[in-house]
Amino acid sequence: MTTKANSPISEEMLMDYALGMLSEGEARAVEDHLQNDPAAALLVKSYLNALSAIVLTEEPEALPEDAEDKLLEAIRNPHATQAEVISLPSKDSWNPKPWWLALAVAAVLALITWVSILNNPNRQINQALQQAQSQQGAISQSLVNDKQETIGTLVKQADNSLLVIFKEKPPPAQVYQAWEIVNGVPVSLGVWNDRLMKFESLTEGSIFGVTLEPPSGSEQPTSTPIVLFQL
Amino acid sequence: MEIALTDNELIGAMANSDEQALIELHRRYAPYLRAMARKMLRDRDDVDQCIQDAFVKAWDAAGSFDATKASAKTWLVTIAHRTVLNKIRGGRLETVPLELWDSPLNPPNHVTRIVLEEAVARLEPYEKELIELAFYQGYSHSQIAQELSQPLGTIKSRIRQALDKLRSFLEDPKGGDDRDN
Repeated sequence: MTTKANSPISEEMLMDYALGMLSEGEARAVEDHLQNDPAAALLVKSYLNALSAIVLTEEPEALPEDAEDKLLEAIRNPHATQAEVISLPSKDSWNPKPWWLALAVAAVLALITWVSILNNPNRQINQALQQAQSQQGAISQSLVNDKQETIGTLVKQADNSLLVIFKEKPPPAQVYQAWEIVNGVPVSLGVWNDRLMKFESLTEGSIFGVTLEPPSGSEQPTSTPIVLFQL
Repeated sequence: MEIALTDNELIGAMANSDEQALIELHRRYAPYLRAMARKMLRDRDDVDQCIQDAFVKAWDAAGSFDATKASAKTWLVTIAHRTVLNKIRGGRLETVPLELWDSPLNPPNHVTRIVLEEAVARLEPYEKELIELAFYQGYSHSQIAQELSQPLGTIKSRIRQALDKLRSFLEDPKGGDDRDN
């Protein structure tokens, strides 16, 4: 079974998709491709079935006694217990604006300042920061706003994992929303109410960004990014 | 609620807000999904939260589930796997289109489980290790190559070989993986 001739999506990429190895942007590209390539869709199905077989041959584990009660509570009160789910922007919806580019340059230049450790009263966050900074190949940079005030620290690992720690929580009625921008397309990485954000193995060459958004997040960035970092 | 309802029938009932159908599906699959999540996450609270989140997502998506195309089993496993990966990766949201979850397999029963076990048993130990690292640990190809001190190309080809062996057997248990050789 092969994918369509001249397809930008290789069979290897389809396998990686089934394994969950792709970045969200790559996964979206595969999903778009599968709409028009039945052979590729069939291959992905068979990979997913194979992986399901592995899971379903595991020795089943007993569930907590209250698991069902909690599940019912979650569906009855979704806003109280459900994990964050936000809509994602379509590729077509992303129209890069000059301020993104200008700010990207400004922010990258601003991020050249090295910092040691934030003056942070939260021990757990400080420990996470120190641990991240101590990893071999880690690069730590300060995050500054347009007034050149330090607003946090970003630590990049050799595998493109990121740890971002802000000095303050987001303002009231706002959240931090992270984005991975691949080929000019911002894809949401989620929203955060806290100071600490972690990301695993982002795409090489992509741009990582953070904006302040309404509590439920936004489909695409609606405010000037407070962080832009070229991976 | 009839215990004998199929998975697809249960999802159909979930689409009509039948909470008992959700609970029945949860009883059937959550123990397997919890075993999967336990291999992927260290924190038991995270494990249980992810499984719960996966079933909430299934509840929310039940209305768009096409029973003529989809297998609940693969659908649930994929949702749960992506939910756990999402947790591991710190909040990244991943989705899988519903139409991908078509499956030739039947709901789990004793016979099906035997077939599944036989399929997995056909994997060589090194193939199982690769699948473990890729699927359960969320390692990238390059991370696996580094972990096992093997060339990247070798890792990629062996993972593909393992998956091809599995899917080939599941699609045609009598033919086994001879078809690919």
